[in-house]
Amino acid sequence: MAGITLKNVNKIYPSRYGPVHAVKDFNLEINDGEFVALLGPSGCGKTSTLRMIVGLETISSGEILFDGRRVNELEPRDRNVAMAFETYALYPNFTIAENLSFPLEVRGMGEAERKKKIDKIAQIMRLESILEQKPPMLSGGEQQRVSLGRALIRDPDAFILDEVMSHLDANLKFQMLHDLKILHRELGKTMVYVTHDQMEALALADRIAVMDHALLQQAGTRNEVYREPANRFVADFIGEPPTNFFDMLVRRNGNDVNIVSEDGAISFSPPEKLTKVLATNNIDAVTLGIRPQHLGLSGTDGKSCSLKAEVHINEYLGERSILTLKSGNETFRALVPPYTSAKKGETVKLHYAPEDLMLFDAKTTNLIA
Amino acid sequence: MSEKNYALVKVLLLIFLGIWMLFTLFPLYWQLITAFKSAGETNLTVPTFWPDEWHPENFIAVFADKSNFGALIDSFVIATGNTLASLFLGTLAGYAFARFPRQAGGENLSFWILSNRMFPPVAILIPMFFLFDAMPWGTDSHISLIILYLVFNMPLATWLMMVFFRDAPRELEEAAYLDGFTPLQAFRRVTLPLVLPGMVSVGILCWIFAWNEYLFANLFVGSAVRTFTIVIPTFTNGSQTLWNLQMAFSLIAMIPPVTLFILLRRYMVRGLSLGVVKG
Ligand SMILES: Nc1ncnc2c1ncn2[C@@H]1O[C@H](COP(=O)(O)OP(=O)(O)O)[C@@H](O)[C@H]1O
Ligand SMILES: [Mg+2]
Repeated sequence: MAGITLKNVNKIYPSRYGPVHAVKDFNLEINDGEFVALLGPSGCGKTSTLRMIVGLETISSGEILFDGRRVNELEPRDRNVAMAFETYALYPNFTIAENLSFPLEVRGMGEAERKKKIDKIAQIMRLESILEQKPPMLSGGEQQRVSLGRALIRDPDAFILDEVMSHLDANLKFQMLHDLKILHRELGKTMVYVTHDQMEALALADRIAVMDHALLQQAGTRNEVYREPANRFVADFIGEPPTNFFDMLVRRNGNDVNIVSEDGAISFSPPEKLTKVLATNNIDAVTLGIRPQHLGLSGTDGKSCSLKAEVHINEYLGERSILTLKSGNETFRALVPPYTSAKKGETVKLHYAPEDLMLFDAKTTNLIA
Repeated sequence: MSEKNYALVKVLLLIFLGIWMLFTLFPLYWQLITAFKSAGETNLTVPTFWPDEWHPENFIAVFADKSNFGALIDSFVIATGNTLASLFLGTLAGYAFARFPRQAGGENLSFWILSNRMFPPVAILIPMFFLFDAMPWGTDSHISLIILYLVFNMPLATWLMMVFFRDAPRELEEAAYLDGFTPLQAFRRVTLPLVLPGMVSVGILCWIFAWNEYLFANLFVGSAVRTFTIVIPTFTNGSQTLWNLQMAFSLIAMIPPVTLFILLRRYMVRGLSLGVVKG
């Protein structure tokens, strides 16, 4: 069992074109038994972070602790963590049973005991029928299960999973997400799950750490990263379809504060909480974000405020429709019920709850409140 | 493509293959029939394309000098010894170049090693002779040729093994480290099996080169050690070349490489086609 702590961790790769700073001052505390997702776009440094945790990559500066014990100098095999790779990394010349048996064999476990463990893992991961086959013969989903099985079999302190579902089709992914969730619940082991797919992160993790450009942007529960994104990037990256952003100006009129687009076509009335904050500081340019889910056509359930916009596209997606709307120079989206009949060119009234507005400083892109 | 064009392509292909086969098989055919002719028949002004009389005893006559059999053994020892040494060094060096290019001297060093293979061997013939002559074992020994042929085979082995190791996913080794293997165990149990087909092909190439080498062998060895390549020209009778015996002996010398090739051809095809590792 292990909690994992990263303290000011940096990774700098030397390269022909000069040093690449892949991870910058990374600080994160992963509690024992927690399921943490490391989320971010491709190339942001997720894999580098993982590789430092498991010991495949040296730590340029900073410290990594397992249960308070510094592990920087430990070899991968001495850290007792298991990793599943994006490419599965199964040993192609050996059967599935042998693949599963290796981690036990190298630890000097006897044959009979090994067999018992393999059978047990095979049962959990549904591998019984393919134990005697070799990896290249298997489908992606099967290889993935073997790779997870191999990580599980030796009872490590923590599991590190790198983009393990990137190459699975949607159906299989759904099944695997479910399996993984159950597995985590049963084992209660620390899991770090790396993905670039926010849907996977939201579906699985207790806590999500969002990375971009080598920096940790925010670490928080699903609700926190969704409702109170630390900055514009997090708001944009989490949620589907992506958040609408508007470049707005703050108009103060005594105690009354309004947020208006530059051409004056759109204006939002901020909730009381925001009004107070804006009245006291002197930020004039803001980026306003509102999720398409939070813009509706009817004004019920507390969605008291409204704005008018012209329908540009009405996309029917089965269980819902996406309206692409225009108002002045701004284009944005709203998620509406599937039977909405709004036609192109029609002007509609959109309702929102002021609490759903997210306001970011236009310069720093950080959340204002 | 229409049915008719397809037939045409097929005919052209067969014609091409036919001509090509003529070029490659004719020397073999000539070698074969000459080996069975009498010495007199090989020297006719108008050559015969089929032996008038068959002389299978030529194949026994070549061993009249008992040491000729020893020459085959010497060649075998040298070729095998050199192949093992080339594979050992080439595998280790190739692995280093593939996995730790920066620490192993970068592209420049690996290319320099390959370039050793590119210059004309005659250029170093004399210097090498003096160099090896100064060694405690002299030039006339197995070990001298085993080491000398490394000049040609080690670069080839290093370069090819480097390519094969690059193809072998690094992640497999990393998975093995996490599974608890030491780097050496991971190399032996995980990576080496992946490049084995490639290694076999490299071994065959090295072995055949060393087996066939004449130029250096002719200068270096000759009394204590004799390779079959320098024995072949000795089949003469005064000023008359005994073509029949030369052909018979070279036919016998072809047996080991051909056998090797047939036994290992499955590895060879897998090893020399791209993606050795994909299996
Ligand atoms: N071995 C390496 N040498 C040089 N640069 C590297 C190396 N590995 C990764 N990088 C660079 O570091 C950055 C982060 O990579 P990575 O951690 O793989 O990101 P992610 O897993 O989030 O896609 C990328 O810009 C990548 O090009
Ligand atoms: Mg990655």
